[in-house]
Amino acid sequence: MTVARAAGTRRPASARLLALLWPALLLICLIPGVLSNLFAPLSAGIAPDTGGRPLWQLTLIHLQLVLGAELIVLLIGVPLAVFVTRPGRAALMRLTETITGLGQTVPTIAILALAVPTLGLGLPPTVLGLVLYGLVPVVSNGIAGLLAVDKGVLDAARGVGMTSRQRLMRVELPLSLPVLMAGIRTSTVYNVGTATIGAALGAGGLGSLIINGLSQQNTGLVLIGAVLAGLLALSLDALLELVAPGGR
Amino acid sequence: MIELQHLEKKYVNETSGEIFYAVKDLSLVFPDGKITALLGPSGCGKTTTLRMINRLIEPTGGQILLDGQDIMAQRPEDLRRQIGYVIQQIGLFPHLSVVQNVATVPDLLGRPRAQTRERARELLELVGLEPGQFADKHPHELSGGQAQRVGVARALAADPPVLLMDEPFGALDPLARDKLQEAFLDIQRRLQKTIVLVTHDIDEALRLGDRVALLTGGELAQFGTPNDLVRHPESEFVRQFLGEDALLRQLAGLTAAQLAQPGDATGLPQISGTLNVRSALSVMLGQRSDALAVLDAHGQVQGVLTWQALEEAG
Amino acid sequence: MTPSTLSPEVKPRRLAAQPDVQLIFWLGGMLMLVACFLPWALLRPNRLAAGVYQNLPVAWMVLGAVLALAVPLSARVLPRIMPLLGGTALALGFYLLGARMTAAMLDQPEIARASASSGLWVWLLGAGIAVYGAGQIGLPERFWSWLAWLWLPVLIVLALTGQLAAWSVLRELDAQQARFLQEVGQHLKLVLTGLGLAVLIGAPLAVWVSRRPRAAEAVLGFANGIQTIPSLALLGLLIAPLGALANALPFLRQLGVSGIGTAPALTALTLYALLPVLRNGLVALRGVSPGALDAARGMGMTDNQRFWRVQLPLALPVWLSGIRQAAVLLVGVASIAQLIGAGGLGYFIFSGLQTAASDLILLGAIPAALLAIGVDALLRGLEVLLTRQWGRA
Repeated sequence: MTVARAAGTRRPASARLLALLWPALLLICLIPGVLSNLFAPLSAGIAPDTGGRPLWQLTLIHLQLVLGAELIVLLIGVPLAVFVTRPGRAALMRLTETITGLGQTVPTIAILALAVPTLGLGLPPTVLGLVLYGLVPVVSNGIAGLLAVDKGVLDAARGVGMTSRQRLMRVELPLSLPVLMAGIRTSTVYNVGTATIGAALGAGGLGSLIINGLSQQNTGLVLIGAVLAGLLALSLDALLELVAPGGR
Repeated sequence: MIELQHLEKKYVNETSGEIFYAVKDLSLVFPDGKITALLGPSGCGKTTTLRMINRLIEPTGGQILLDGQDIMAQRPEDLRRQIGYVIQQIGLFPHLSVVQNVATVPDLLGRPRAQTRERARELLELVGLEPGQFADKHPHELSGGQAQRVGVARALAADPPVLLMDEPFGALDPLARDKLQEAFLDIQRRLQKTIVLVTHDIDEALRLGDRVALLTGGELAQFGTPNDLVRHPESEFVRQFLGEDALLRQLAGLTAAQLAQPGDATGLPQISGTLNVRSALSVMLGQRSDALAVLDAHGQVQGVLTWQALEEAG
Repeated sequence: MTPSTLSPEVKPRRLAAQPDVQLIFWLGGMLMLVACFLPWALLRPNRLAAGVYQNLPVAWMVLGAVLALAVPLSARVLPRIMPLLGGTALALGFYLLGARMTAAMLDQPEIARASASSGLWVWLLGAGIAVYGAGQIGLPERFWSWLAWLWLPVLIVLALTGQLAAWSVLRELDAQQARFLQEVGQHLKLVLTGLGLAVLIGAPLAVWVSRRPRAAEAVLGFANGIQTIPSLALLGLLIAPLGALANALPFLRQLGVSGIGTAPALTALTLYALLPVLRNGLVALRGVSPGALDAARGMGMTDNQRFWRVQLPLALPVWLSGIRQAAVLLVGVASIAQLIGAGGLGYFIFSGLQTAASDLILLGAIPAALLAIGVDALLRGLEVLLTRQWGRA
């Protein structure tokens, strides 16, 4: 009874339409020629060279990187949160919270860079960084959500004869879903940023436009990358907000 | 029939090695088809006892027999599915609709969905909730009283012979509690379940219990009918716990109709049969009459309540 | 009755750590065990070349494995020695860092480099977890618990006596000491200035909007949107407007404003830090109990007095935690400020990435990580202090 349910607090249709603003802007910017012509004055009058790859392809690579990492994050993070919240693992849960807390503190670029000596350059250290950094909000929100499930409800679930597995699947996970979803949203938005920085390690994606632009002193190129990366983050944030209302 | 034999639950403090008995050498028989109230101050072991019956807590000694079978012989989940369970915090699943909540146990037992939905609707009607209006609501849309009715319906869903209730009316305001207790007694008259009810509320125990087991410090202080406890307290603790006004409290639990005897009612002040005896007494004193005419639901004279009958009851 | 602290079994007194804490020692011990059989050192003929991995000598391998197994096993029978055991394991890791690198560099030319490899890192992780576990046992005796800190004096002594000097990262540091100090200073300057500006702007703004819910929503929405944008993208986005500004107004350029360098970096840092400062400020100011404010009014305080004497002191601990979040965030963003020419520890990371010199990368990444953790711990301590002084808001 004490766990309020978000049903009945659906946002008005206008707010939902507004959430589609960012994705719509992103799609417009991906039409070939739109951004490059817009920023041509900043690149000595010529349309900035994006390295032979169309922008939509770079965006797609970026998105793949983010969503692929997020999938790994979910496959590791949710079972981990479940594992440490089972009875008799309180100390393990505190350890997990301490480590995720540390993970949140250490700068993204430092996590990426620390992996380079072992994993080399390119995709592997970036994916590792994406997963490690993305795990933090998913695990901590997963734990918080599972711990917040009302004790009376759990007692009732035991009392009606649910096995621990049934309790988890039918009661605990559904009830902690809103909090978990908020964590997934945060994690995905983080990952857009991490993947951008990953370009410095040669992971490709939209960050490579910014990095190349900076090293070639081509402001137009930098802006194209920055605008697209920003819009991608805002779009994912808005779309996930539709699925999971509530604060990040 | 539920039988407790030398039931014991002890806890050991790991650092000091101190032993604490939540329940100690408790032997009791809960009669079939009756309500037995487990009454006592907080920390007396009444909830621990209740939770041992469906193995939410495992005993450290003694036995519990359900229809002659040791409950430890079964998988706890299977045992719990045969026993209805109602708790004070109500414990409805907030993400499921009312009908899904009620259908939980039949679902767990793998009964066909259509059949359980039908049964759930019947049960809602039984506990006084209009299925058309309530079936698809979610728990947060219900009042405390309505939610607890759903809790009772959920406990009854698999038609268990035994019902365990832990302070089921504790969280309600007095008015809603009164109404729900009345409805609950009404349901029990029809269903005749074996019910174990934990309460710290003396009035509730005396009103609802066919038998009352008064516990203190994990041990049984006295077991008997409400009448036994009130009139023949076996110890100073029982007398003190029930209080000086125990008799009046018990009278409050009786209705005028229960004490009415056949007789000539002409010219006597009239009262409704559903009035409790304590109120009847004050009518008697107020009207300066030593007898009252007791009317049934249709306004017909049912019998006469005399001062003498009251004295005998008290 | 509190059943959670009691167990149904009879024991005269506690002999072993709680089962869930034992799990931690198993985790730590297993990591340490695995570490013994991983390579500990990587020897390269020069700082850029590929190298050869070196394992621990067999004697150390055996000793390490014994210690690794002792951790979970003695947790069962002798919880009291766990802090000592964990502290020793961690100290041993640091000692071996120095010893193995020195051994690897023996008879090698000056330009050769010995760096720590996976075995060492995994061992430090496992030993760190064991130290953490020792803190979770809840030993009644202070003295035994303090032994877990044994590694710290050992590390300090090792560092001061030059035992670690053979490690490639410290070699790198040795070669660039002046530059290192300069970039650390620049990093701190970026973080502190950005944080200072964010507080100067954010604090009055938070106070102002805390009384205007509609404005609060708009301001928070804006700050939220800024923080959703990836930090690197934000740095990039600021280049054009600041560059244009500097071109249009030459006096600004003389003040140091340009598209590249410290100005856009500080702008981005300030914008980024604004959200935590604002959000926690709002939560803190609104969270002050109405009872306290009402009492203050009842005592005859003016609006100003109420704010300065009651609302602000009560809100400060919560607010400070927002400032801490902002500071930690800024240490991270400052690490990539080098990309727009603003320097900081990112200088080493990105030069290292460009030349594929992993020691250089670590010379930037390790201090950046430690700086973030240090800033976090420092401000956390301050929060605890303030909370203790003023009570919980």
